[in-house]
Amino acid sequence: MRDGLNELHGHDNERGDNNDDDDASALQDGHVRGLMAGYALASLDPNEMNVVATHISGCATCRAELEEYRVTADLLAFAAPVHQVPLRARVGLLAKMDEIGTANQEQMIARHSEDQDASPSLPMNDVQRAWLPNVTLPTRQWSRARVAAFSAVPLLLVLALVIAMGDRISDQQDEITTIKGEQAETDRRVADIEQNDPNAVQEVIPSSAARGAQGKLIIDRDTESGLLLVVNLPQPGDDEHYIVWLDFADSEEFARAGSLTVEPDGRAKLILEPSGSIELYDAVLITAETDADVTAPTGPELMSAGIMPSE
Amino acid sequence: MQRQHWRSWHVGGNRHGVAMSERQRRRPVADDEPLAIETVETPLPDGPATVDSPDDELVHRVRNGDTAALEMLYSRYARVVYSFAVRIVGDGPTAEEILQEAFVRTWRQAGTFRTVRGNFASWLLSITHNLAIDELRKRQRRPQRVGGVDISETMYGLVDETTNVEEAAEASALRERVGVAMATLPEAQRIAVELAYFHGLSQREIAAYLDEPLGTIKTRLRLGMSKLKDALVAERDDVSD
Repeated sequence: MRDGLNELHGHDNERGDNNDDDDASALQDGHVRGLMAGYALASLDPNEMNVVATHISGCATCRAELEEYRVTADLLAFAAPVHQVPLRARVGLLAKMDEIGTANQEQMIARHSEDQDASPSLPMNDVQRAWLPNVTLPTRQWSRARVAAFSAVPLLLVLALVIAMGDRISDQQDEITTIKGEQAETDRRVADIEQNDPNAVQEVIPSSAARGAQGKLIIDRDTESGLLLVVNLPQPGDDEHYIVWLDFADSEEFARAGSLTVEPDGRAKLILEPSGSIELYDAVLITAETDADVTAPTGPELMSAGIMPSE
Repeated sequence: MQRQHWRSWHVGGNRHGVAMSERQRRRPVADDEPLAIETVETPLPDGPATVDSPDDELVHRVRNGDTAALEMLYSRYARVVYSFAVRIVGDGPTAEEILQEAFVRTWRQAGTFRTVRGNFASWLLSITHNLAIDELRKRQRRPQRVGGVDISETMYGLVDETTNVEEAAEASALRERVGVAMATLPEAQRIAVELAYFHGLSQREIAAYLDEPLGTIKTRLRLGMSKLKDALVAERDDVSD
């Protein structure tokens, strides 16, 4: 491929050899049109991603144009040469669905019976479902006295469970039964939280640098803590560290909430325990940093969520 | 670090307690942009899904646990997804795994898909892209297996003809349109776009790989994507008009 490409270079009349970084042209007229293609392809440097993100937040014109670039990028998938799909792929998928479907049906039944007393119930959402059976929220009340248990012991138990279960989940029906019960409690607890305070559960919004990632931020005002759950998060690079920040509501400062470890399947979670009330903050931010010990966000944003006051 | 640019993204967040579409999630939202979230979902028609059922209905049914609806979506889009995955990861067995995982995630995450903006194909291909690029990155961090004969391929290399027959009509139309648009690009621009999209390389990595100045690569990507946008988005608008 390289040989072929090298031949092309001599014929290229669109070189920018004298301008190694053409941000100047990209920012012509006060807009970022020159960076949009790279932004839509997520191929810019982190600082450039920030430049675009900052600009489009206040520029409807560029935002509209960026949307067109994103549509274009999405369509590029259709440029792939056609390959015939092996029949065994369908067979394999159906086998997986059979396992998953059966488990989900049992969970739905269990949840339905659990939720009969809690109307209206909260359907198990994608994040909770994706985390099944590896995450267990604290059940009952998140009282102050439970903060320690919420933060330390259950987390260790969950992590131990994650490690212990691995690929053996389908073979360990007893464990699954236990976890399904815990999940039903989790669903009910989240439903209780959201029913009492609709602002307590917020979507975590991905940036272009984490396309496809999804997440929930669950705030417990009783314990003044929170739980951040994310799925489909890309793995950090070799020198990257995902750091979670809390944004002070009344200042330009951030408090570091912790680092985020991404499981091999793209899941990540972090319990947020700020030193003061969580209502001192108005947002949560995940950034990719090259320095694991960084004390303020400098890298590109991956995801963010608002911390809304209770209604 | 500027704060407002990312803070504003969740202005449209979950104030209404409604999940946002995939495209809305990806797209930054400004403070002054009106919320455009539909909360009413069309009721499902009576009876089972048919080959004529629209994608949105099938996704709705998947959300309700209908595996037959998932299989219909698979029949429509498996070839697109599989071809896309092969293009990125370069081998069939891994592409098969990605294909299966993409539909498993469709099953698990159908609740997050909404018909407001975006469409199912875009949503599915976005998942596929993430899975495939992640696979590429993993490969960079681990020793590669020595290539060999895929025994299962040898044992039963049967083609899933259903995916050929029932592929979504719009998929084949899009394939043709995008192919034509790509063919109009100067080769250097096309290669730059492909390295960014199909190989997940940054502009800087592309420049290093091609041994070209960064500015040249930026220019190629900008010009290439701009031409594709003009060709594809304008044509889409023409069709919709």
